[in-house]
Amino acid sequence: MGMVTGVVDTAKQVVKRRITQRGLLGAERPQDPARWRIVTIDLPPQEVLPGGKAPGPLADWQDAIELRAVPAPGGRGTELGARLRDPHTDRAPEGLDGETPVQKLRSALRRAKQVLETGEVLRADEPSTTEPTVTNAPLRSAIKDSGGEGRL
Amino acid sequence: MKALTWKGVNEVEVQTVPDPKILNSGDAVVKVLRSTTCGSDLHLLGGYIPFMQSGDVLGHEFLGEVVEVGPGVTKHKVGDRVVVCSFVACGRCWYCKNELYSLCDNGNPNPALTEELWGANPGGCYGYSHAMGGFSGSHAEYIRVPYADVGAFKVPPGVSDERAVFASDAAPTGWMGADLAGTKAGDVVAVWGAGAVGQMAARAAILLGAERVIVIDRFDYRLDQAEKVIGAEVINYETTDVDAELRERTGGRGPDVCIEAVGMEAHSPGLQHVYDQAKQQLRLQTDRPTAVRQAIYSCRKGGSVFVLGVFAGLVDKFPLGALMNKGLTVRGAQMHGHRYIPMLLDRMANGEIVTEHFATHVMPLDDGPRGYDLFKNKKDGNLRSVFVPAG
Repeated sequence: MGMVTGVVDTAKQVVKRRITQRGLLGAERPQDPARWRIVTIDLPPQEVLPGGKAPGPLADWQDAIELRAVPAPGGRGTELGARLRDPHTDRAPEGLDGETPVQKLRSALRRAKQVLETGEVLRADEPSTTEPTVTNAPLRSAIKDSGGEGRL
Repeated sequence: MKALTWKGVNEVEVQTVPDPKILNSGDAVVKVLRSTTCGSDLHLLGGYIPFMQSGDVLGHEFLGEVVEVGPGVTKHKVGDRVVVCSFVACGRCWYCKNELYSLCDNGNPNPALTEELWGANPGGCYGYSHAMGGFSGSHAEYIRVPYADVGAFKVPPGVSDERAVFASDAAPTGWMGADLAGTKAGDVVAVWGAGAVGQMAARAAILLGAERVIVIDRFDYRLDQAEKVIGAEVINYETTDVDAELRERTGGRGPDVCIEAVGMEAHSPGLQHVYDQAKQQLRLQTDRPTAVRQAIYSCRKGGSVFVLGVFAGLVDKFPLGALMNKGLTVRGAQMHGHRYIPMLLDRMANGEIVTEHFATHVMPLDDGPRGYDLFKNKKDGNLRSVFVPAG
């Protein structure tokens, strides 16, 4: 049974990696956990960082992250950037998607954008109608991490 | 409640699932009155879009009655009869403000899947896999509608359920193709595919002033509808050399505008189909782009090609040389339905757009598996199976 579980787990990791891998059409790119992650928010800078105060879920990081906000070109709003001061920080807030600090930071940035633009974070349908099976385990895992993964 | 769910490749089942509920302040819960199959569902059924899970509720083109609203909903109240755009869009991000609703930044709770696949994530879509947000579909007695003020539209009293349901997706998708392809008075427009979307693209082209509109398909019963109801000319590609026929009908130039309304499971006579089918089954390409190739090849120099059919990933033998050397403009999009639906409902009310003929088979939700069998296999003259969950 243990060997079967091990094979299934390995297959899950391979398929999950195929689903979420970076650089689909080229060489896999090494991730730099210290680089800026940036979203563009369709609001002026003074509404994105009012008085320098971090918006929504980004506020919970306190000084574990750096923030910057600059006007986006062409009247597209504000480019809001966030960067981990320590890529291995253990101060990531609870309740965000993902497991690593980088994943949690992506999740926080996306949620901050949604809160600023729409007033709340869009929730996935629940209770889900999906039935867990061995074959959909990799996809379930990828979905669970989706808010913290991606190209952000 | 009852719902029609995807159980595996080419396997659907009616089962009992939890009722939807209000999760965000802008949500509404809608009792589904009509929900139709769509050609793009077949890509899910066939396993070509590998982001479905057993138990996922299908369906994205629907009309219903509002039975509950969240505290943030201001435009709708309980009892409203609404048609809901198949795409989930917030109405507040830059893309929505620029009427590019299917590109909404805030409509897809699973952004990473499509960011990795396509470089960025579009908005969400009901019943269209976890890549498009994992929202439950409309082949159910009830459905949750996020951002209801943005995506739900009151249906004028004079428009029947059978007509209005197609304002959810087929009509705005077709209209968008003709509109964004730049159709103008005097153009010759060719449309590949005589399903509901192709017929709506043809009708839109006529209403936008095209001089001639030619619809291409292989099923005579679909071409008959395009000719007799929509008012287009037709070509059956199994009995006619399409490129030669288009040249003859356009003075040797080729159509000014070519609209592809077929998608990733295109058919064609001859070896090309065998080649594409083999490569798709071997996963050497994800999509069969037969109609796109022909549209690019047949389009006049300097003309416009619009890709309306759904594609998932990568294709082989894409005629980039023809595109470049003929100076073509090629565009594509999922549907920005929110910008067209009010106008389309008005046109449905005054009779300029009719759609009831699409609903060749209307049936209760319990007959869902039979409905998809008829639809997928083009049995009994099926153009669309329409489900009546309360029936």
